[in-house]
Amino acid sequence: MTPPLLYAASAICAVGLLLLLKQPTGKARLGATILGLAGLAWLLVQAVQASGALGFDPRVAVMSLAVAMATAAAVRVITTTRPVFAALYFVLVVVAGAVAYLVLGAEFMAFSLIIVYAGAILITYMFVLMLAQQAPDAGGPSIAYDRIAREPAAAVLCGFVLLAVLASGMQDARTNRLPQAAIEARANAAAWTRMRGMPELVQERVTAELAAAGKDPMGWTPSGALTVAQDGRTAMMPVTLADGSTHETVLKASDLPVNSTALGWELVTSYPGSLELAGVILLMAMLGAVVLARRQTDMAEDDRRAAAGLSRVNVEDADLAGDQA
Amino acid sequence: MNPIDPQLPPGDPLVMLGLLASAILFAIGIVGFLSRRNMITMFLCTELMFQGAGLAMISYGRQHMDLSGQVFVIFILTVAAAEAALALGLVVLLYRRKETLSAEAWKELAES
Repeated sequence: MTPPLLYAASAICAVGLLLLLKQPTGKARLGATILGLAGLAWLLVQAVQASGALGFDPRVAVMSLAVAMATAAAVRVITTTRPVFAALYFVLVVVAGAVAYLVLGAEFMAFSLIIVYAGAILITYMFVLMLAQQAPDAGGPSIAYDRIAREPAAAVLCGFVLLAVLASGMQDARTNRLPQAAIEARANAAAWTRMRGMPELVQERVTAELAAAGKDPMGWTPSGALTVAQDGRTAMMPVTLADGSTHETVLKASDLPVNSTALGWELVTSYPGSLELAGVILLMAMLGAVVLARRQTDMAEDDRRAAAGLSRVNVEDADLAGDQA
Repeated sequence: MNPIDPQLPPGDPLVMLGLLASAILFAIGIVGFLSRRNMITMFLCTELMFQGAGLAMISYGRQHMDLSGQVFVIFILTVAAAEAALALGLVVLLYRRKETLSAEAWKELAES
């Protein structure tokens, strides 16, 4: 990915987006869409080439499809004039993003993304859209003030510069890269360390491995600690079986905790403070939303008191009466 | 600095595509935030930018085979949920004041 080519592809995308933001119809719209997709395809090809990987990989195909889908839906989010459609297209962006998460090996986050974003946050948006629904003017289904984008050229220029800068920063992902073996060894070491903290899981896996090896899986006791092999792919656990013989149980990579288990462990062991802070943020957001959304009444204090059925006590008169007595 | 350098170890094309998608989503989000006038659409565009940030976290987490990236996406989701609650509360409040969702109705807040 040489920078000039990268900037050219970004510029083609920007021109396509600019044309689409002007709400064209018919052939102009088709042309702008094709232009934008061509720029996007060029960017995708450059990104795959820049990684230096050879050969066809189905995961790359799925990922490219998800990226294209997310981009197309995101463009529709900002070009459609109807906010409800924008929210629905945003759901498509989230689904495409979740596919990308799945391909990148973040299974738990993929599903929580769909639940939290497409489920919770988008429903809130829909509520507010319905609450603040404006009567469409006679001319069409869209609202008059948002029919044409405001200063699309300046906005797209800003976006293009941002895209070019971010995309050139991606080179870092390859040039500042440790050798694959070193990354894997470190990741494996971290995974086995994580597993040491989960004695019940170790017990379960050792029992399964013993059963698979044809040994008696019941009544064994560990006779040593979990030791990781040199390459980090396997770990050994010496155990004493029920009949008194010893056995070296080998745990394989497939015995490691799955994504959600490992993620939860990482969350509560490495970031407990941040977890508490996240809870505080949510609590403050809830308080703030209650304060903001409280219905402001125009009633004066006396009216409110009367509405609550309380009579007014005139303190001054009472004091005066007391003084005279 | 030619990145297609045979001396370098091959990168992961998935990571590259994920980073590219995050950059594109962030750029589209900022374009939408600057050019739309409906306040709800503008907040949807900030959510687009959150999506871009999350995808970058996951991609770099994959690059370094580290779970911290995924943990930070949990925090991004938390902040996004808090932001959505507050922003939408604000939008409802502003809509009650002026009976319109247009950001132009609040032009007088600008300094010029």
